Amino acid sequence: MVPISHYLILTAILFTLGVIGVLTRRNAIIVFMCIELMLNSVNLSMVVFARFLDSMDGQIAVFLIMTVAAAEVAVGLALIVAIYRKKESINIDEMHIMQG
Amino acid sequence: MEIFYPYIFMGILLVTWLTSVPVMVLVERKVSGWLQYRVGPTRVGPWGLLQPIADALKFLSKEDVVPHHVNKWLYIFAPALMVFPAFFVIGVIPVGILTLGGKEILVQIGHTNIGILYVLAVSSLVVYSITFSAWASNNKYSLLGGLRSAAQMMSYELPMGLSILGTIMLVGSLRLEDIVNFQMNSAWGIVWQPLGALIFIVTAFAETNRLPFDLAEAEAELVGGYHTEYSSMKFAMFFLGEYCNMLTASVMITLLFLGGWNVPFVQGMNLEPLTQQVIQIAGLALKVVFLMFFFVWVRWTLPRFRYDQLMNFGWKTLIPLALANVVITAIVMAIVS
Amino acid sequence: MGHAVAFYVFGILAVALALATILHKNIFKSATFMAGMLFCLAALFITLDAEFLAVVQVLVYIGAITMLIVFAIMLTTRINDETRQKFNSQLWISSLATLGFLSLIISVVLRGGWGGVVTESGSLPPDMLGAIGTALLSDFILAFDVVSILLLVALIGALHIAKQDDRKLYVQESFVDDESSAVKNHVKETEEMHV
Repeated sequence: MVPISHYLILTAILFTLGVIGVLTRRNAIIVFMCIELMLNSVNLSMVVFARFLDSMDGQIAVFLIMTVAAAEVAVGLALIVAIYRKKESINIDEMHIMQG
Repeated sequence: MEIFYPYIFMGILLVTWLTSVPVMVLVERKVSGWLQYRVGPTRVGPWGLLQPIADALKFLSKEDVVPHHVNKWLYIFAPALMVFPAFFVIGVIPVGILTLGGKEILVQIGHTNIGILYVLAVSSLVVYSITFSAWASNNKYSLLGGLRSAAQMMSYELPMGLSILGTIMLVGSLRLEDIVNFQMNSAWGIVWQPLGALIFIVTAFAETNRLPFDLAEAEAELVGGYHTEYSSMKFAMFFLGEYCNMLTASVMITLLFLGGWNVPFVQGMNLEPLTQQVIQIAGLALKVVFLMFFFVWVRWTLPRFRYDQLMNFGWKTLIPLALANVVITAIVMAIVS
Repeated sequence: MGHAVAFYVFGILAVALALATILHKNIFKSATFMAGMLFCLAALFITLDAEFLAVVQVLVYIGAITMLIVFAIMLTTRINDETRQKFNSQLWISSLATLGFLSLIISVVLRGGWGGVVTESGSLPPDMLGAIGTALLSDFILAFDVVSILLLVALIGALHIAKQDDRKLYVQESFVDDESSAVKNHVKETEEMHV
C-alpha cells in the first residue's frame, strides 16, 4: 500500500545523491561509484513503472542496463588502474591533460 | 499449523547445518589420520569423539586479539560476513518431501522460482568477507591471500554458473525441487550431464577454498592467508563459515547431479508414503556424507595448485569446457525434440 | 502492510547508505556502503515482484561490479588512507543546483497525478522468469544482441589495456639483465605507444 509517488521520490533522492557525488568528489573511483548509484536509482524507477503498468518491458530494460553497467565497469576500472600506474594519482582534478 | 512449517523447517535445517560443523571437524581429523596411517585424536572422550567440544572450548577461552594496526570496523565485520551467506543460502534448499496430515509438503523454507540463482547469488557474497578481512588486517600475507582467493572465487564462479546451465536447459526450471523431480522420473543428473557434473564438482572445491584450491591459506607461503591476524572466536567464525559452505556445496551437488532425495528401488517396494519419504531423506543425507568424505579424501590425495596453474585451469580449461557442454546439450536437445 | 514496512525501512536505509557512500573519507568503506545500498535496492525489487532482478542485482552488482571496484581500490590506495581534501571547489554551487533539481522533480511527482498505489499483489505473470526469457529472445532480440556484442567488446578492450601493462613489466625486468638493449627496447616501446 505504498503510493507510487513515494517510490519515485526515493529514486529522485538517490539520483540526486549520485549527481552530487559525481560533481563534487575528487577521487575517480568514488565518481565511478556515484555513476553506479545513478544507474541504480533509474533501475528502481523502471521496476516501479513496470509493476505499476503491469508490463515486463521495464524489467527487461533494467536487465539490459545491468549488462551495460558490467561492461562499463570492466573498461572503466581498467582505465583507472592504468592511469594510476602512469600518474600515481586518481584525482580527477589532475586529469586535465589529453596526452598521456 | 501449515503456516508454521517454514519456521519449523528453518529451525531444523539451521540446527543441522550448525551441528554438521563439529561432526565434520571430527570426521576430517579422523579421516585425515586414517589416510595418513596414524590414529588421529584419541584423548578426549571415547575414541576422541569429544574432540570438537575441546576445540570449541579452546577457541572460546583464547584471548580475542584485535591488533592495533588493523582497520577495526572492517576487521570485526569480516568474520560475521563469512557466516551470513553460509546460513542465508539454506533458504531455498529442499531436502525432501514429507506427507504430513495427508498432504505432501516440500521440506524447504522459502518457495521461489529462482532457486539456483539465489544460491549462486548468495554464495558469491562470501568473497566480501575474504577481501574485507584481507584489507582490514593491514598485513601483506593477509592481503596476498585475500587477493588470490577473491580472484580465484570470482574466476571459478563463471564455470560454476555455466556448468549448471545444461541441467537447467534440460529441466526447464530453476527450482531445485523441479530438478530433483526430473531426475526422479528419468535418470540422475550425472548421467545426463557428466561433463557438467565434473565441472561443478571441481568448481565447488574452488569456491569452498578446499585443497587442491586452498591458495588463500597456503600455509607454506602465506602463513594463514586472509585469516592470519584473526584469533579466538573470530577465527572460529571463518572456520564455521567454511564448513557450512562445504555442506551447502555437497547438498547442491547431490540435488543437481546425484538425484537429490531419490533412492533407487525404494519407490517399487510399496512402503507407507511417510516411511518411503524418510528413507529418501536419509538417502540424501547419506549421499551428502559421502561427498563430505570425498572432500577430505581429495584433500590428502592432490597437491596444491600453483597460482598461475589455477588461473589457467579456470579460464582456459573449465570455461571453454563448460561452454562446450552448453552448446552440445543445446544441439542434442534440438535434434532429439 | 508488510510491503509498506519493507519499503520504508529499506528506502530510508538506502538513502542513508548512499549518503554515507558519497560523504565517507575512506574509499574502501564507501564501497562497503555502496554494496549495502545495492542490497537495499535488491530488497526493494522483491517488494515490487521482481525476484529475478533482485537476484541478478545481487549476483551482478554486488557480486561482480562492486567487487571489481573493491579490487581497483586495493590496487590504487593504501589502507587507512584518508583523503584530506575530498571535495573539489564546486561543492556548494553544485550541491545547491542538484538540490534545486531534486525539489523540481519532487514537485513534479507530487503534482503530476502519480496518485497510483503499489498494491500487495500485482497482475504480472506468475512465471516472470519464463516471460522475461521469451521476451528477450523475441521482441528484444536486437537489444539483447547489441548488449552481448558490447560485453564482448568491453572484454577485449579491458584485456588490451591489461596486456599493455604486461609488456611494460617485461621491459622493466629485462632492464636488470641487459641495460643497453633494454633501454633501446624501452625507447622503441614508447615510440610505438606514441604512434
